[in-house]
Amino acid sequence: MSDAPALKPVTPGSGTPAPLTDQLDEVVLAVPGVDALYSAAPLLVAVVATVIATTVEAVTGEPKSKSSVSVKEKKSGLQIAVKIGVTAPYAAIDVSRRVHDAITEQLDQNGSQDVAEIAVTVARID
Amino acid sequence: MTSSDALAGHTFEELSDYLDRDRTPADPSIDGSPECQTALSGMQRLRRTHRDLLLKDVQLEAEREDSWVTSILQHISLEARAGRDIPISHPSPTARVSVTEGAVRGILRAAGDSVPNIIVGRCRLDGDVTAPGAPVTVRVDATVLQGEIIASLADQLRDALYAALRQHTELAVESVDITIRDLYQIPVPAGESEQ
Repeated sequence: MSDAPALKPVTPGSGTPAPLTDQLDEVVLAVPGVDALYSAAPLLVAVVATVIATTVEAVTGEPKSKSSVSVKEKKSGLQIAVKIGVTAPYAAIDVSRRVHDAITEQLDQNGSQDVAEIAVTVARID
Repeated sequence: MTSSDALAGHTFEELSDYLDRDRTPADPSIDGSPECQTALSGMQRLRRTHRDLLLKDVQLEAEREDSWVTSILQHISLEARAGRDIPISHPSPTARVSVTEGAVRGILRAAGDSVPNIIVGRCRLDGDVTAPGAPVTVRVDATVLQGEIIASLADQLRDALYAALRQHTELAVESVDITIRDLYQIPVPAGESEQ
């Protein structure tokens, strides 16, 4: 996607999914029509993770990643999941496809390993 | 709403209270839930409509039956659940793109609420929405302000629903069935009916 912000690539296969998830959060939120990014994890897991991240940040003073895009390294390749909210003047069909393409482009730019699946779910349209 | 009907762990009353408190203090379990957000949007629109109707009632100094509002509010919460994943096509073999049934019901309700003097109650998608191309029937219950021409309002509502479905989904919609379940009546003030 041409209007996505230029991002620093991560080392392929470095085993550090956190920076990649942070990058993908930014890439997804930069897609026109995306107005929210929800945790791809089940709600309870997401809330617990947010509470833990906030507590760790308060205790250590070090910011902890609160990224929402889920990236899993599987044998068959990266499995990426993202759950978005779409703002109504935009068509959910177009926005969701653009989100997929923006993620693909970012992964290509990073030289990331093979992709097994990119799952984009529109969870809210407002 | 029973505890088993709770939306992302929250009851209808809790969501309503959250709106009353102007969403403060922020609750991440509500703010982070697209289902809760869809329900809150629907509840807010209904509150606005209800407020407008109340204003008309106050102007007429009349009393009015409110149970339909409670019923619709409960439907809003129940239908905001994520439900089934409705596929959106993409040429890439690694793509799995979808929109949730809850999000679609939310936009159907929003589209319906954009038509004046009609309030959408229950929304249902009948058919296998998870199978691309499978025929789907959309069933909507609505409440109409008494005195309006029902057939004309139903046509407007149907057009708005089709437009929303075309914009946001690839569902093969076979029909949109609308049932007017209630008439919202603004009572005539005493004395006026005798003229």
